[in-house]
Amino acid sequence: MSERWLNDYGDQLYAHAKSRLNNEEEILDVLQDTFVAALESVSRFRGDSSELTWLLGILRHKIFDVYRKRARKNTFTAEAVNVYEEFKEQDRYNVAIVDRAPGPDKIAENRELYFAIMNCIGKLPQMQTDAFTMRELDNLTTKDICNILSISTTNLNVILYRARINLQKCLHEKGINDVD
Amino acid sequence: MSIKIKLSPFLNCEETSKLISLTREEKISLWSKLQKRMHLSMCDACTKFENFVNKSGDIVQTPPPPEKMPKSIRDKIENK
Repeated sequence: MSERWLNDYGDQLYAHAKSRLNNEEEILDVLQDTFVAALESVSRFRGDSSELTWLLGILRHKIFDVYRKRARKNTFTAEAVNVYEEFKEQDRYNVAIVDRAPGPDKIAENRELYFAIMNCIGKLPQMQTDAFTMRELDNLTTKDICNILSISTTNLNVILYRARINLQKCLHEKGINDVD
Repeated sequence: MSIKIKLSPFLNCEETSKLISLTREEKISLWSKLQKRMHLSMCDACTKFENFVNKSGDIVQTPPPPEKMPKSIRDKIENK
């Protein structure tokens, strides 16, 4: 059974995990956990959705478990320190204004932008990566993300704000200044 | 995020960018919306930031590009 899943859906499941986790070991673990969980619960799978959707649903939760474990390891009250200081430090606005003229490489393809953004997401501090991924890639509600990461709404909003500021800065460093 | 309600219609860049991020998370008050719009009408950097926040959020929601599962991972799963 799991061999067929691996053959039929392995690539799609891998692509999903890869877009959300940054190392191969973690990806291997969540994929293995997914297949194990799927085998255990296959008798309850009633075919309301396609097999792939069902497997992706299990995989999603396995990935959230990884985020949950990471968040427990990090004591990350440190994330909530004065945002204003960081804001000043980064000097984002000076950068943005100097570069008002469009860059030489105009980003035409969304795909290219997608890869650039994903690359930058991977470079954020772990908590920002995980929070941003759940928010924007997985569309989780604020409440769910706060539960998984054991943080307050206020804390989450600060983390997401920082993630966005950092992402823009990272893209800027890649020479991408205008996203229209 | 602590965004204090300000009576003045004029926000600075920090306050505005926080509001831009917050708008993606929850409903903001009408007054905050007006303050944001007022600031955006005269600030290129914050307008860029708003475009970026919305566009990047939309782009990453597209399904991930096709990937081939590496053989090393496939083998490990098969042998388990």
